[in-house]
Amino acid sequence: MQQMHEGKDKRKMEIGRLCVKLAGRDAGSECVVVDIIDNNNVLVDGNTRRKKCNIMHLEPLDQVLKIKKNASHDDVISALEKAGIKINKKGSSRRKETKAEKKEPEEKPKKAKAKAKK
Amino acid sequence: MVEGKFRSRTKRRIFIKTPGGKNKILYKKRNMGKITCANCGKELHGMPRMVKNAFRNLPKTKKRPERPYGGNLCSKCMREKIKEKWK
Repeated sequence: MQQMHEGKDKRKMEIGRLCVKLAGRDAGSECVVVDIIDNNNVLVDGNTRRKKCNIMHLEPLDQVLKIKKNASHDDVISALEKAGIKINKKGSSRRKETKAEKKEPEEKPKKAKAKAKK
Repeated sequence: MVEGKFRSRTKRRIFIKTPGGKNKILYKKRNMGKITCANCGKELHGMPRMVKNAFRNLPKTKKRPERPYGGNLCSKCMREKIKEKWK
């Protein structure tokens, strides 16, 4: 595993590490490290929005949750509930839908009608 | 001599030159004072300083930074407060 932020915080960031966000409008809410992007940045999800985040903007806690790399938002939330952390529904609702989650619009009925006429 | 209410320095004075070439003084309200951190006393960023009536008409998002304790604590003190909560 990569050595991260040497000399600043000796605890290593790893996938599943429970953290508290310190900066921005999500400050004070819990999140889980889902993916490690590079030496300074990780992908977090949970009571915050799913976002890339600088390590210096996170306060790591003692717990490490069991989740897979790139786990989905629902998996992260169920893992948080098991750990006994309150889920802030307001935070999860203002999260933007990813492209995979958005339902594809159904085929327009106009085309079907046109085919039937022919 | 000016009116009595203008003879104190509670109002801001602006010197202008009229189109006719005369010098005149405008009397206006003063801007708000510095807004400081409640913990360390540092001046806060992202807070507009203007006449109080104009400040009131601003939208909420322009009056303070949009984070917990925004407009009350500086970011450094806010971080320490959150860390204390989780210890």
